[in-house]
Amino acid sequence: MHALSIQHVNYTYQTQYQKVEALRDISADFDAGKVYAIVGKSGSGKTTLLSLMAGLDLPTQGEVLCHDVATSQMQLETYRREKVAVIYQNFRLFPLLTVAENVMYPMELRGMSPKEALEKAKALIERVGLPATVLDRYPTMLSGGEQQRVAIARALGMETKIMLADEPTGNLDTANGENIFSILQSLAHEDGYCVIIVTHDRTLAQKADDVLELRDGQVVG
Amino acid sequence: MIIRNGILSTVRSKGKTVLFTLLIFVLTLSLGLGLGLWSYCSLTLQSMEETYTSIAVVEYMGDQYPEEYVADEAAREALNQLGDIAQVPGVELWETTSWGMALTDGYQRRGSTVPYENQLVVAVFNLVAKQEQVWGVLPSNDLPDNYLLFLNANNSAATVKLGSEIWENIPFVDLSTETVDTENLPDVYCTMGTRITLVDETQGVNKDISFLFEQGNYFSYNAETEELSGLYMADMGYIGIIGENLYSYEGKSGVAIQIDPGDSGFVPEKDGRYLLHGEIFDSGSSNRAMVVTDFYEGCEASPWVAFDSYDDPVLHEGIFAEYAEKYELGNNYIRVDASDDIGALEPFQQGMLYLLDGRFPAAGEQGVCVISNDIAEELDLKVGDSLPLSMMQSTPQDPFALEETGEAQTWTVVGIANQAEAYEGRVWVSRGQEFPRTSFFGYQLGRAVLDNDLAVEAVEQMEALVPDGVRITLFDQGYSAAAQPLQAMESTAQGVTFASLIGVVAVLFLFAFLFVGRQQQAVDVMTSLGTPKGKIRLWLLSGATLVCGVAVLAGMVISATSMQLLVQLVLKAAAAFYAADQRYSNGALGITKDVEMVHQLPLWPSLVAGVVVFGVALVLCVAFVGQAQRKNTLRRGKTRVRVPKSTTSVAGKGALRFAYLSARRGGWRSLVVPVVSLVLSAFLGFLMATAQGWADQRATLYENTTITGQFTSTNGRQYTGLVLANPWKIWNSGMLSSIEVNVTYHYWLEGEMPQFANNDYGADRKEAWIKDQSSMVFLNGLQVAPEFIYGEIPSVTWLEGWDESFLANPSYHENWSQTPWPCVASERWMKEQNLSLGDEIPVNCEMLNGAVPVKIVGSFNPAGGEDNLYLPLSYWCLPPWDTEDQRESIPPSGSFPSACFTLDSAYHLEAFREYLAQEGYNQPGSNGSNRVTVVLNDHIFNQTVQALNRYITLGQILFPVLFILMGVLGFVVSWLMVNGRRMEFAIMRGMGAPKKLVFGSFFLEQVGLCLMGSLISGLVVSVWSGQPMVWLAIAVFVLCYLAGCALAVRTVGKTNIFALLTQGD
Repeated sequence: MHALSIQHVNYTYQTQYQKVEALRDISADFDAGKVYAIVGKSGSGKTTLLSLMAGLDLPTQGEVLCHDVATSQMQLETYRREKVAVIYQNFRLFPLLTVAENVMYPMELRGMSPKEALEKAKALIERVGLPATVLDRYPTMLSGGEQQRVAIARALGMETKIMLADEPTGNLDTANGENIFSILQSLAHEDGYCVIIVTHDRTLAQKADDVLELRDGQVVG
Repeated sequence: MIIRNGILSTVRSKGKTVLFTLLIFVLTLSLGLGLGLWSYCSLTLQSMEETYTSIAVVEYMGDQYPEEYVADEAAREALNQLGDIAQVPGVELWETTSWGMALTDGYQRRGSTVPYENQLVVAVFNLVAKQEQVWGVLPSNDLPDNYLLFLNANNSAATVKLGSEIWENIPFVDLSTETVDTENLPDVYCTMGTRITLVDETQGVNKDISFLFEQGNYFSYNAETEELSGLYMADMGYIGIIGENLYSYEGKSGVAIQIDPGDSGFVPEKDGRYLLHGEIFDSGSSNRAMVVTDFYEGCEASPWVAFDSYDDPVLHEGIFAEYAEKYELGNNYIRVDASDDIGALEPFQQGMLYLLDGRFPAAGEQGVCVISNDIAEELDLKVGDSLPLSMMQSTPQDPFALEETGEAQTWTVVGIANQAEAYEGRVWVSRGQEFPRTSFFGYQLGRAVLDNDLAVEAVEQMEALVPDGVRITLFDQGYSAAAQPLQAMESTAQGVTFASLIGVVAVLFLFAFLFVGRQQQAVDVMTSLGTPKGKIRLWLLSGATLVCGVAVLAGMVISATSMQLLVQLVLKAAAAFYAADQRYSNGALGITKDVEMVHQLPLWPSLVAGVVVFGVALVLCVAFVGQAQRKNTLRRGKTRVRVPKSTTSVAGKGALRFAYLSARRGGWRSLVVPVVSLVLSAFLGFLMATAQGWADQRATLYENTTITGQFTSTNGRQYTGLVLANPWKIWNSGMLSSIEVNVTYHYWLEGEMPQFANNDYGADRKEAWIKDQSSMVFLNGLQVAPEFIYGEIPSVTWLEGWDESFLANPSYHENWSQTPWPCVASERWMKEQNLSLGDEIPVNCEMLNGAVPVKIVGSFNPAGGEDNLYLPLSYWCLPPWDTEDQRESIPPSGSFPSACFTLDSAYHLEAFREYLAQEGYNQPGSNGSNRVTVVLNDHIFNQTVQALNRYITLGQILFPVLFILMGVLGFVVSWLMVNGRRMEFAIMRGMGAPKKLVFGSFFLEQVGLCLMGSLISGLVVSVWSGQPMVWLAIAVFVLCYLAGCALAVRTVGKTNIFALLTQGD
């Protein structure tokens, strides 16, 4: 049973001027304990694919299966809350919540008490290599790399085993990028996460366990 | 390029652009319409201010009111007691009545305004005695040889004398009735059928005596007075020929005249010539008739004198000649009225008089005058001609007893007024014109010209400055009723204008913030590309000003083109909402002018609205340009990042927790909503408190006001001397708490009545003498007393155990024969008669045969000149609530001279007006079907209620609009607040947060912030005003605001999270 599987996925959307076929008959399987890289040029459909896997939308055709259950058969809201965690290129942290509160948010969503969530958040922050001093700071007070680590900590707080990352190093310098990647890698290899990274960085992709290359919405390798 | 890109970047954010274009358009439109309506109402009111004239006529309600030429000392005293009316706010001109007398050659007065129409001084000759057969009390008891004498009132017994034979006290038998027992007729009797027959069976007489009737030889005997009445030949004075007419209004000589010697003792000798002074009277025949009368009461000179020839000096000198001249002068007087605002004198203001040609003299203008048309016609005068006048002097007691002053003045005619009855022979000059004035006569003390808008208040204040017995009547030509809807419209328009201005500032602030202040990103890009500051400014302003300009232009055009329609609609609505029902009101006396509406609507309000909106937008945009440039991120760096003051929070749960954290940490953003809420809710709360205050005031006014009314003359000004057949009928309305009526009969004390001749003239004089006496006024409340009905009831000193309620006590009706009758009398009269409280005195009443003793149980200090006695109404009649017999409600005289009433509640005023209208009661100046005029004393009440209604209705119109505006504002503010945080929406949704939680997180934040501001303002305003209703306004505001807020959160919540989360910043 694959952690995540996409089967003959097509995704079409309508802009003001044209109908865009973003993904065409894409199939792929993703297993736990591995880091996958989805690469392709800008506009190749990789972020769209990631969004479908993140449950932000449903494919026009085909299925996205999570542990063999199609997302179309689930409530996407629940799917997003309980099955997948997403790390975005621009971190997408709440600007008015402290680092700890950002990390606590998904835990509280699941019904955990704030106090309990805070304790867990502290551990997660430590786990992503940030000092405890950042807990009470706002995200805007941190560097990009630090913010991305907070984003990873928040994703970890969701306690799902599938982690999707959209250009996680895109806004980071090389050193920070490598650090983030190594965290993600360790999550896959040591904690059994299924990590799927969307990137256009070939160097980063080469470090992944498996690479899926897209071109014009189709898998080419 | 800069402008094009600036515009394009603005208009491409379509939702925002459309929203604000619409908002600015609507605000420009409402501001333009508000201003337009405001200016329209102001212009019309201004025009009305020039067209309408309000005056207050100050009159003393004396015994002979409204006689114009009577010398009433009480009125003169009242004139001297008037306060400083000129200083009352709203009084533009105060003038006491001022006029003089003059004569001019060639002018002969005509019509009903001749004072000595019946007086004459004539030389008569060829006098013969005149006898006529008349019916009446026989001057002696001499009876003819044959007669029929009825011995009692029902003709059941008679005495018949035929020559030497006499039948005394014989019965009359009516053989036509079935009850007559023909078998048992008396021996002697008279039959009454078509013929009268005398039967005496003892003497065998059976005679038709109808001839006695035909000859007039039948008489009645009054056992009580022992008088015989019947036809007899009476001396009817003399018939003579007028040889010379020294003066009579008719002026004829050589015609026959019947002469009644009256009390003069005039007995002419055969072929004698006599000079007579007297009065013409109606003899009931076609002949001229005069009675010889004294020159004046107590005059020792005889009113008749014999003369030999027409050259006799007695015809040209002495008292006869003097009086002939007096009558001639008096009958041809010209009255000269002085005023600095002639157009505002009552007859002109009320439309009885108007200028046919020319103009009025200006205030203080010398040597010019306006004349009545009869003078102009008789003297053939036109505007520009000169009018020579001999100025005359009157005596203080008689305005028509004219004497030459020797002063002659010539004035230039600058205007000619129409000729109207009672205004003939008039000249009007400015008050500054020097000429001899008469003493004060009549009852019109003066007249104030008032500011139309302050007229009611001015009259109220004037009333405090006048003594008892003085009444002030406001004639506003219908201004208050006509101005009411316009003033209401003006208030509404002002409200709309101010509300629009607030909206303009609020919306444009947001507009400038969003379209300019929030454009840091664009500023960053342009700055990074080295764009000069000026061009960046141009970029930022070009788009915003275009959007604003288009909206403003559209608003201006639509407001200018729709103004006419709006005015028509609003006028209709205002007329429906605010039409003042002045039926039967004492505020609607006199004429009502039609409103001349301003037809040309000005364009400037639309222009001003556009300029204001565009100007405010420009100023705010320029202000935000600076902010956008200062706050661009390139300059900001990280130095501006705030360091949190507190640690991570674990307070709360779910949506509330997120809302709380966002609100607490939102910085200035979290201040906007509370501040906006505070200001707006305080504004609404203040309005509500004020509106509630108005409503409370209105309720208090209704609770505490007693509306009274009275029956009046047709012009609504005279409350006494009426002929009211059944004023009780108005009681059927069921809306009155009382009706007070009086029945007035003259009285005199024993020995006061002089002897009068036993003829027509004597009877006339007796009647006139009785009419001159004071009255016994039978009434059921002192308010209806002739002395008090125009003003306040004076303080009454009561005999112990007595109070005013005895006047309404019905028990006197059955016990009328019990004497003495209790009464209230004036202290002056009591002093004259040497009486004290509790004393008794017999008085003769015109309706009673003989004297009745009255007992004084109350006394008062009189304001008028009469010495009336006030007694219970029930001596003559009972109110319908005290009797079931309708006949007992009407006095023997068949009518009441005065009646007034009190409404049981001011809330019934409208319904009572309807009742009066349905029953056909007259309003002053407008006849109904039942010919009885009723006036309600509700002017001040109406004015106050109408003003309050105007405000309350304005509130009722304004509040829903404002609440909708609050909803829109809530939407706009919330949308702006939440829209900038769409990413947070997306992150939450991306992490699978349920929609309700996401909605709640943002909505609750807005709720909290809104409540924070609203509660503060609610507390402040409610404590300040003491009106709990403030909370209702606050609650509705919060609901409207939050409804808009919920809509905004929901709209923003529909954002495409897919696109948001995956796009770059």
